Amino acid sequence: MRTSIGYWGYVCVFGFVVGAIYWFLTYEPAGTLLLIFMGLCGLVISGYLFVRARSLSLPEDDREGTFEDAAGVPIGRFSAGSVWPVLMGLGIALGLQGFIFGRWLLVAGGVLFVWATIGLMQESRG
Amino acid sequence: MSETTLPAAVHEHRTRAARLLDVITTTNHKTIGLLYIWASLVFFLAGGLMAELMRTELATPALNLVSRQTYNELFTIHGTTMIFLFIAPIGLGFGNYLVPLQIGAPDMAFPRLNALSVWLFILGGVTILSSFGASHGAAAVGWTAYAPLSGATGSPGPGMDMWIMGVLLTSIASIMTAVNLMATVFMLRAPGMTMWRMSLFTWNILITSILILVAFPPLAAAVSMLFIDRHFQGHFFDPSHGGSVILYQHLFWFFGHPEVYVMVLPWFGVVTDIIPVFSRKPIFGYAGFVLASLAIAGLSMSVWAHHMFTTGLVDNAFFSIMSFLIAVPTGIKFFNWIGTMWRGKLTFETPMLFCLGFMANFLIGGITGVMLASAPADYDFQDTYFVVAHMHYVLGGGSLFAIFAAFFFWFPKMTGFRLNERLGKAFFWITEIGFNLTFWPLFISGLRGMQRRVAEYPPGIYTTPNQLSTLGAYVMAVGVIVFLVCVVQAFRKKIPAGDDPWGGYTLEWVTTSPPPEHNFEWLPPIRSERPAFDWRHRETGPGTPAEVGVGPPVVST
Repeated sequence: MRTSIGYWGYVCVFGFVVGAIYWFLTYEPAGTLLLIFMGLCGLVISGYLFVRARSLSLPEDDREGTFEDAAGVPIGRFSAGSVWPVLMGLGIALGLQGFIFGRWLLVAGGVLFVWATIGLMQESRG
Repeated sequence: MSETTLPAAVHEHRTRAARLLDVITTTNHKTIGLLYIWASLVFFLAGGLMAELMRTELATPALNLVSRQTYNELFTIHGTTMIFLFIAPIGLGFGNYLVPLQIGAPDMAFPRLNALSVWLFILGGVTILSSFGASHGAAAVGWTAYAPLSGATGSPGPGMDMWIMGVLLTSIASIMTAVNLMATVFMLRAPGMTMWRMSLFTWNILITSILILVAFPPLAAAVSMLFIDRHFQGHFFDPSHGGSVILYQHLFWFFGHPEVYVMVLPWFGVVTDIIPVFSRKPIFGYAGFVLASLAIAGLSMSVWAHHMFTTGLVDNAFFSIMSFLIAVPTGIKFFNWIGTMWRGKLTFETPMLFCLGFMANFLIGGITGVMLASAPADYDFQDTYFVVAHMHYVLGGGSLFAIFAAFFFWFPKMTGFRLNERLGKAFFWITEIGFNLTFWPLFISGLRGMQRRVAEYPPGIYTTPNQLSTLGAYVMAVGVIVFLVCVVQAFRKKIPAGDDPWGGYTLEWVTTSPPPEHNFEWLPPIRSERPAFDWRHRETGPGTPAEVGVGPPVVST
């Protein structure tokens, strides 16, 4: 877990430090904001992990970890297949084409997208 | 969600339609990874065809094959295809396939999100390529789509809009895949697989993911703003209403330069996984390699405006220094590779040959990159063929060669079949010769001042280099045909490869080829960064796995 926190901490420190240097060298707002947001991205995640998971000792971080250590730890279910992702993808793609070729495509894509979203949620619940 | 898995016997007797439906509705990371890889290779063939057309046009100074407009469309879509639809996504494809296997996970963290990503990527690619059929033709503004040329006046017609939507779709797909890969690496490692024992390919995919996460949203924002300018009376990039065209360049290159590393870092990882196997040695300087990758990732976020030196509106000194600095961690990687091969027991199978070709070509690309990073020199090189040659040495000589190294290395694992070594080696040598014949002369035409993105050139000093280059492009086309023959032959002859044809080091080589539905029937204990090697040699010292040259024990976990 320390490596994960350090990884995001590096993103955070790099964004803020370079962003600050860049601002005082150039006073150019676009690049400064982008770098600061990079720092914020790292701050949010490393901060969350630091507060919530700092003292967590996971079997995968244990250099002597065995498979018995991880037995019984739920890692979620893995879907055996689902038709909704491809329908949702088609919905998004069609909907975006609607901005170019006419609003009817936007409606068709939107309907497909909403249908797929509902399908995905029901699948997760079931 | 249905948890049922059909037994293998039932699978084999299903009809073709049912199997097609299986692929379309798949959420398995291996099938999705293969979809990424095969789709990217199809896009690669399309982009290569455009390149051959352009080289044929440039064989003579005058315009004689395509119109100027068609030429502009060709180089735009060639660049877009190779960058957005081939090199970056095929890296995500290998990541999708290999990361769960290398860390001992049953699947990716979010399987259905993964499926959505691959479909968005494929649909985005289809959108971009089908724009050739649009009423004013495809986008013709270069892969950078600079405003105001890409605005409503400069680029009328739906081709440009389809380019924007295609890029938007592929960038959404990339962001989702990056999130997925990071969650997988952080949350689904097998017990004992600490971060500092992961394969270097997995490490580099993790670092690539953070680059995607930081760099792609600005791109999505930039092209969306472009679309708003074109259709909804926006003025983001319109100076006559207080907008700024330079803002587009900032946003685009804040994506564009990290994108170069999105296209290169996974292949650094591939090469670093392959070279130790064919040197019969552990990697030299594991931790140094990881830290160098992190340094490259950081620096790559702070060099974007070296593409904008000649605008005169950026701090040339800052971006020049940062760009020079990238050479340091990249040099460390060369030390890793050479140190690994040093006194190793080298064998030269096809993947290893491609790795060596990668090192040679990428070095040329890297050194010319340092030349271009010098702002005063860049005023001379900007928009000449020198830049074109440089970036093709980085992405063609570098990434492309490593892609084929990865393909030849992991094809037996992914399909269970063996590729023909002799055809593979022939493919390597034809490509290596053809590649250098194509792109080395472009350095010369560039230094002589030839402008990029122009279909004609004055006869005289540019003619010979261009003819050599065109010849080289045809040689490369022959190489690609050899490659296709090699792949088709492997699927027809179906010579079984065995689970571990190379004597691999990382975890994917302990499972079957191809791996079962959830990757592993069993796992060996993981006690170093070479679990498969340790398991093969377990009798030599029980409980004392070969910890030669592994990462730093003090900073683990």
